[in-house]
Amino acid sequence: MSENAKQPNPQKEMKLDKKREKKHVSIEKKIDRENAAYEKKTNALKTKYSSKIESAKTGQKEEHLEGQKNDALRKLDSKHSRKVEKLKRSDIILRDRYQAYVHPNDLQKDMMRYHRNSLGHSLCFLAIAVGALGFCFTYSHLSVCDFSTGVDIIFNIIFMLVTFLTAEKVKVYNVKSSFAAMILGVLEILHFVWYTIPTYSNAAAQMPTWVFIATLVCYIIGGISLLFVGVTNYYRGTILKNYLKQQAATDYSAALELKGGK
Amino acid sequence: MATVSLQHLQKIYDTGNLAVEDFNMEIQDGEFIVLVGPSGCGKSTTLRMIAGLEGITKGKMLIDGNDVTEKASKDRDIAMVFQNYALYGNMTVYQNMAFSLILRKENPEVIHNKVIAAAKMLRLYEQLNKKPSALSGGQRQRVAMGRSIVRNPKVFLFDEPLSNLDAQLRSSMRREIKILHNKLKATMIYVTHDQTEALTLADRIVVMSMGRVQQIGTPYEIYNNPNNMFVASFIGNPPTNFFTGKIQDGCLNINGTMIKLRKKELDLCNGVEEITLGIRPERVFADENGYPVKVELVEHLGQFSLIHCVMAKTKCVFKVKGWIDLAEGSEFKVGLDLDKCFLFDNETGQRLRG
Repeated sequence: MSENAKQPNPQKEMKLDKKREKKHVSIEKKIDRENAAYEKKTNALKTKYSSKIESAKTGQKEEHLEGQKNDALRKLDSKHSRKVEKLKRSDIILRDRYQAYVHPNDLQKDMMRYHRNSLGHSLCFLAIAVGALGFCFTYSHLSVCDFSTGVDIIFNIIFMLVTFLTAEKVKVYNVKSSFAAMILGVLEILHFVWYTIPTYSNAAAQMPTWVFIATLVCYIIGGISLLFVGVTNYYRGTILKNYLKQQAATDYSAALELKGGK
Repeated sequence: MATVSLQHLQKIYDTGNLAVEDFNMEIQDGEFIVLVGPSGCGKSTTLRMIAGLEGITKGKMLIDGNDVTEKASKDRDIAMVFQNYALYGNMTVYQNMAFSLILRKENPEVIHNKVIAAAKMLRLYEQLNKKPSALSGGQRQRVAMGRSIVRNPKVFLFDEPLSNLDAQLRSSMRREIKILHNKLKATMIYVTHDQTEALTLADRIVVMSMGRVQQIGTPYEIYNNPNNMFVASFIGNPPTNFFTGKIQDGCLNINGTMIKLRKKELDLCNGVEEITLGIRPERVFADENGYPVKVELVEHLGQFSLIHCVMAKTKCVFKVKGWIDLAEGSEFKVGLDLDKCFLFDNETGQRLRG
């Protein structure tokens, strides 16, 4: 994948502009509905408290009620402004989100220096979890234990450990760990081929079909997750590395981060 | 930024302990106020009442004209920097500084810009990816300040932020805080027991003792025009020397030493049983016709020397410029500039004024 955006296709851009317009209009409608609901709630609150204040017998109670009213209005106001902020931030089509992920601007690249690759990190842990689940499925219905069983167990342990270590590196967009993630992804899929299929084929092992399918699903999910992590981390890590190289001339901390091994 | 109005604030704990009594003050927009006093005087309690961490027993508090007396801390739009930093150890500096904005669900790009700007202001830019355990005390304190700055609150509160730092670091952090105040032009309320911090940082100082305000004034006023003996003794290092005596034949008789007073001083002392004369250590000069002094000890501070001596049978300390070598037991004479001395009623401790 190239870091630089391709030249835009005019027709495609027109279609995207229409989508953006449509999204914007829908968000505006939602904001208008939210504003109307806010007005209604504010008026209801003011009416509720004004009758209470009018019937207050002492000046102190009046003040207290006035304070409560202002408090409630302030809470409502902050809740409303947070909702509107959230709606405004969602005014972005999927294509643009994808673009921002694949072709981040300078500000977004700078943010990558301090934010973690939480998606990559989570997917690595997903791979560990489904790998462990596949392992449990396989051994829950196994009647034959031989040398290959021992090798498989050791493989699973090492796989989980190495995936965990890779996850920690992926978290900080370490480019080299991308290769580790891709290799682990391939191994996870191949693992199914060199152990689970022969075991299923061996009548003596008595592996039920549903276990075979469940294990397949687990290892495929794990393998694909790791491959996805490897590819995206490599891509985004390279973007970040190049950005740091650009900044290193004027930014000492960028030079330090490069040295630290992104 | 904001004005703060503290009206007759009082704090009485459940045990009946009166921590703060009748605290009144109007703080202008952008002012740097320092609450100073010995341990247990109620300064931290006052600050915590302003923050909303302590309930207010009596009185009112307004920020920008809005009554916030009953409001929770999070609704007062204030930020506080604590003595022990209170950083999240599992988060990086960036995450610590961004945390409050993340909770407010602000735009991530806006958060990033604010954190970077604050980090550059506080020279923390290169530490953004480090955790607090990898930072020095001064850096941690700056992270705590940065965490407050990004929120852009109406009022900044500092609760003895430099107490945990060594002397050299304290001195440099004092400068940082002053520079920060000049940059932000924010309303800041600072609590300390260190009178040097008070004198160097404050636009106005509030001297407190035993829950009561002793004096409010600019550093110049507090230092040169103390209201009572407590303020005169607390502010200034070394502290003010006190000599107690009675008026006799137009002089102040201090254990047999007759200090000549002018009509102005004698009029002030009219009707007062016992008078205490306060002299700041640096406000004496060598005078052949002055009052005899016997040296006990000389401390050299490089640019200054502190002479511990006895005058009028009272132990005192004088501060003189230069490296002075005087033998223990040696004697010399000092003169006093009465315009720069203070007279107090020894019974009440209050300053005698015309």
